[in-house]
Amino acid sequence: MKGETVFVALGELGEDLIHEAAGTPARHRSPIRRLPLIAAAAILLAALVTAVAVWEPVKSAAGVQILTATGDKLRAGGGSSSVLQSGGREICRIRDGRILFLCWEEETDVTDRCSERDYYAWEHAYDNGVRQLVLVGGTPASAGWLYVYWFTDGTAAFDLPCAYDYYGADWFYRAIEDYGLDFLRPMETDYGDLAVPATKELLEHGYPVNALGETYGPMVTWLEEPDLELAHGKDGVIGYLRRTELDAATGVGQVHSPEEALAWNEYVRQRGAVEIPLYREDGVTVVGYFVVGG
Amino acid sequence: MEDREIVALFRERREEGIAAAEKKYGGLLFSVALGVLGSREDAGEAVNDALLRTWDSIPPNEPEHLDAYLAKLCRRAAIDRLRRDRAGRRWGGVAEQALEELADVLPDGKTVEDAVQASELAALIERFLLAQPETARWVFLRRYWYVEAVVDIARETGYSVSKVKSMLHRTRKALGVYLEKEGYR
Repeated sequence: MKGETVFVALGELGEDLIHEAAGTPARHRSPIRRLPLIAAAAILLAALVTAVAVWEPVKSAAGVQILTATGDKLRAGGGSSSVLQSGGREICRIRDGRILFLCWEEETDVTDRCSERDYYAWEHAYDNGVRQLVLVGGTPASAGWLYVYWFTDGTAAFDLPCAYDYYGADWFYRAIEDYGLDFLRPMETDYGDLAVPATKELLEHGYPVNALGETYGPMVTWLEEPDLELAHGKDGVIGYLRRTELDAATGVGQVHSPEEALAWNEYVRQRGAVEIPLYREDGVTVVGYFVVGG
Repeated sequence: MEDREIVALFRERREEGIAAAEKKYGGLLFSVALGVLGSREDAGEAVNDALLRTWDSIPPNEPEHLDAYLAKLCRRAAIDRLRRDRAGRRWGGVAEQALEELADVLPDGKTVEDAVQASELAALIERFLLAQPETARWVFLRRYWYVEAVVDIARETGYSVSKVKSMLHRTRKALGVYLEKEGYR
């Protein structure tokens, strides 16, 4: 049977490795455990991450990122996305106390170029005019990274895989200044009487559940997506998007190959904008609409 | 009972060693064998095979990690049982999925001809795994060595199922690239 060769060969691995794997796993590190590292800024960070999450209503699923940015106003949508970025990409890894930047299968040790104040920058211009910037900063204990794409139509897409760490880091704010990345700057948001759980509360207790049994709250990097996700909609209204409705409108889970991505983009181009409801935390009361595409 | 005490019983040819090993590690061994064979009856027999092989091999062997030593013998015993009676047995469900996932690591038809080549391939895989982040290595070994279901790995690590699948995919892909660089493709 295919795969048998490797499976059988694995049986000959050394006992040290087998013993290591027989033990307890290094559990997924809860951000709560990281708090002591940045204790002084913990409450501030929680607020900032919550605020920023408003601007990240659509996250990757089925390996597809469809976040787009126009100027300093971010919005979700397949319509203006000019590039589909594979999710789950590893940009950095920490090994033996060193920060290793991964690029095209090569590792570069950037430890000595990074600190709480300094960052390593990697830039690349693709043949199709798309520019990419990757930034890595912090120490091996607190390293964070982000990447930004600028497209030829002036839009940009980004991902902040380690936001919780670097919203408190000097290198992050220096990079914003140096590269004019103001759209990454955290913003405070007034939620009115909408029930919005604080990030710290979410990290400790998970998402609250409404009477329909749906979880709700802002996207937080380390948690599964809630059923109702905080978003910023038309006319500045903030409410909750039902994820299933958003996924249906943005193609999440429907695109699995470059061909399907192109077909989806064509479909979205012809479809134009669609509006999906924004709800209160009850998932029933409609407070506004969120525009996708167009 | 401490591992060194169990090993001492084997060394002194005292059969209580077998019972002690089974008491302490029987669950682990059964789980490995069940993953490979998919049948409780067959898995039980593979565990017995493994304990007998342990009896035959200590001494002269002096395992440093008794759990790994036993598990290794058990995994091998389970695979041997499959191969001995291929027509009558199939890979267990979890193993079959794991094998399918591993299919892309080496190209079609690429096999190792003998134990020496299997050891060489294992040495390369080991070198590769040692260079991986600890969690990725742990997840890979639980899936493909201990033949554990993805959902169980997710529960143990605290990761989501999709995260575990994604980690496994990345590690397999990187392993394929590594083996190709080493001339294995």
